[in-house]
Amino acid sequence: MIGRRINNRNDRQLSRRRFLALAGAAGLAACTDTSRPTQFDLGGSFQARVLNWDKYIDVGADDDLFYPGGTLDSIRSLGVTIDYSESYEDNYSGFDLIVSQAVNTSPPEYDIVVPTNWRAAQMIENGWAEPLPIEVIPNHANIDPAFLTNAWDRGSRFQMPWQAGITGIAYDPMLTGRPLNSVEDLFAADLAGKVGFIGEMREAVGLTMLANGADPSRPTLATAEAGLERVIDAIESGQVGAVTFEDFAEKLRTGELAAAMAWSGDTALLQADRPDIEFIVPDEGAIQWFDTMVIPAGAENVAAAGAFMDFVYDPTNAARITEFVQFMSPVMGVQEILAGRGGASAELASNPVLFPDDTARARLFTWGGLSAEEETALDDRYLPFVPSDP
Amino acid sequence: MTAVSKPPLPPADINPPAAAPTPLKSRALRPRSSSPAKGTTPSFLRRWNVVLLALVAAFAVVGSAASLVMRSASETTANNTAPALIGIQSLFASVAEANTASTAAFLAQRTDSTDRVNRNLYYDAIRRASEQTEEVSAIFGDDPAAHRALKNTGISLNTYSGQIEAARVANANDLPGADEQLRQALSVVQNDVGQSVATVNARGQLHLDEERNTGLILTILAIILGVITVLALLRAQIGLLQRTNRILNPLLVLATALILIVLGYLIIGPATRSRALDDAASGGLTAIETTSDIQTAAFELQSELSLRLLEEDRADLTSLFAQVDADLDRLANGADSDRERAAAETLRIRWVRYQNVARSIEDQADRGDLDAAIEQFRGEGLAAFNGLNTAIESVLSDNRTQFISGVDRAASAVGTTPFLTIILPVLAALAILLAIQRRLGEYR
Repeated sequence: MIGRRINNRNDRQLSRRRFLALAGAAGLAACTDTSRPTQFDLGGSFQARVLNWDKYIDVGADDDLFYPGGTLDSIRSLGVTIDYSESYEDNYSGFDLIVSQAVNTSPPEYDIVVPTNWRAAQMIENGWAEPLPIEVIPNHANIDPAFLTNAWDRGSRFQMPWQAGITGIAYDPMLTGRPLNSVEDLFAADLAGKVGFIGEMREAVGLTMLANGADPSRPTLATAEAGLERVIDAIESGQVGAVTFEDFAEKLRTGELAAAMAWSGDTALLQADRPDIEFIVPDEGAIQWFDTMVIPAGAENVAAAGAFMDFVYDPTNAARITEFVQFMSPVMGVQEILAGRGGASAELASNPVLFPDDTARARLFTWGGLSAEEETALDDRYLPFVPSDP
Repeated sequence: MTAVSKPPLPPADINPPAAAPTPLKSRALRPRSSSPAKGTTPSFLRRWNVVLLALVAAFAVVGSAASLVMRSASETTANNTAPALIGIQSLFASVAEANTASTAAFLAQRTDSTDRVNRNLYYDAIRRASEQTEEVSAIFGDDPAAHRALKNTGISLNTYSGQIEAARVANANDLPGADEQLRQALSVVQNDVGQSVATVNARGQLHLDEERNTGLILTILAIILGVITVLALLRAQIGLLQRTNRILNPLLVLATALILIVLGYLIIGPATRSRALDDAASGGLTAIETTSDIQTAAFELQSELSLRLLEEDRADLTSLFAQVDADLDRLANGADSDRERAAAETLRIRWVRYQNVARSIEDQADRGDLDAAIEQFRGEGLAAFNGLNTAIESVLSDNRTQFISGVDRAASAVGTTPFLTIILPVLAALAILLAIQRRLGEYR
């Protein structure tokens, strides 16, 4: 199994979300209890069952999801009961449940799931997603337009992005001996064996496609296969020292790798300890991905799911989540709110990785998607090189 | 001895004296009387047999013809005219989007060699427009004028994309005449494509109106025949009542009920169809047209804005702003569900954002700060435009769904009527035949 962030996590390591969760918990320890209810109920008539990735929302002490003043606590004011699960493991095993329930037409277990963009595209294409109840989501108007032009869901009628990130290049200048600017640098002979490739096929192949002069936002089978072949060649030839997920950060920290395809959020965490580590959007561009809220077809609490989406798209609530998880927010107005708060929040607001400017955005490519069969075939070819337990 | 003889018995065939008449307790016990009806009962029955069967047959023929014609028209609306009308709106939107993207990309070339996003948008839109032209052509019925206009659209699109490409190359290589080529391309869209699309749209509307009225006269005729048939059945029933001592003839009652059911279908089906088409037109098509107007105006605004950054003395955008404001009001006022109202509100928010950015770009251009204007146009301006455009698409998509759903409802309202207008009258005719034959049998 491969997954973006969770299933390959080494328990000794702290993921970005876990680190921030603990950091936040320390700050909030004085005002939170240690119990961790899995559900609150104020007797409201609405219930939304949310399945999300681990540590992808603000939490309090002892991972208290419902700490006072937090997002899940504040939503009580709407009279909506939230059943929040953090057990979406990855876009494969985590997704199987959704698919099997959709195919078997059994009522979905969750009213909101948060797969990555390409999985959401498949859900929509297969009719496994409910149209958004926009009548209860006035904050739908706050979706950053950059997330509205995906060919598979123009106007975001079936999904609302939760958080976004960039897969670019992180490197240790001391070990590379020179600044890196290009994806091509990862294939340079002087870095043989010291390079890490990301375990997500679409990101590794996408970045390599950029190096090949192809556009991963509009892939064809030919350009994607060419990218994959080059990735596999690099792995088999020993150019690639490790295929990683978030463990790229630890390998950079220890010097096992000199450069790696890297997630922006995890790199920011690494930079807290190692400010000398650089993160770049290569000259050719970088891959942007996002995890997005989808209401599975047949969900029983569509209106409540809409209410939840609306709540987290209020810029004030979205800013609280961004402060905590520190990924790119797809909600308009968050940057202004963070800037207005001053201090560390204002620093986040000026962080180009969280809030890239127009020039940087123009160099970000979101995987455009092939047919499900073609993508599965590509996955199958890449999976043998992906460690299941790094 | 005197022999006493018995009195002779009355002859066997002599009727006993008539019993004293008993008072009539009901019409059913009234003895047969030939006075109200003319002729014998068998001849009465035979006469009504012919009349009723003829009426039922005529009703069945006209009713089924009416419903078949109406169903066929409804299916044509659902499968051809409605998708064609939607397709033609989408086609124009695609061309307008291609136009906007190409001018934006053209503009970007002045400061940057590539504008991936806009170029991709342009290629997508022009490809979509070509596909939509073919799709509309394939589903549009036998209408030479519409097909001529669609053929012209295809030719104009080729001309347009050629001119855009020429303008792009000239612009990239800093050759003279690039601006003029772009202007010519825009003129192709505004004049040739716009005119062809308007023609096809008008033809589609005409077809929609025709299909809406198809079968109405036949249906009215069938209803009149049905009413006459029911009246005749009642008259036959009354006639039988007057000639027999039975309360009702169950088979004639059955026949009457069957004809009434068909009549009900012939009245309710077309009425439901008409209502569904009204809903589709008012809730769907009108909204589609309004939203398309907004989209067209928005595309025109964006094109004008980009041209304004290329040259001076461009048209004033105020009227376009006002037009979109008015269209948005119309859209909001026409919204008849929470979802539509929410979509209209979202659209308004996106519009205000775009309008603010567009005015800011315009102001900067007016002040002569062209670099800043271009920078804002390519960044914030494009984002705001994309937000507006995709919001428009969402509204359009909902409206299309509503329109198609109304048209489908209209088609299904008369979907089973042809079958019923044939099978039920046949059963009614059999019931009549059986009823009368059984009565006749009693006289044999």
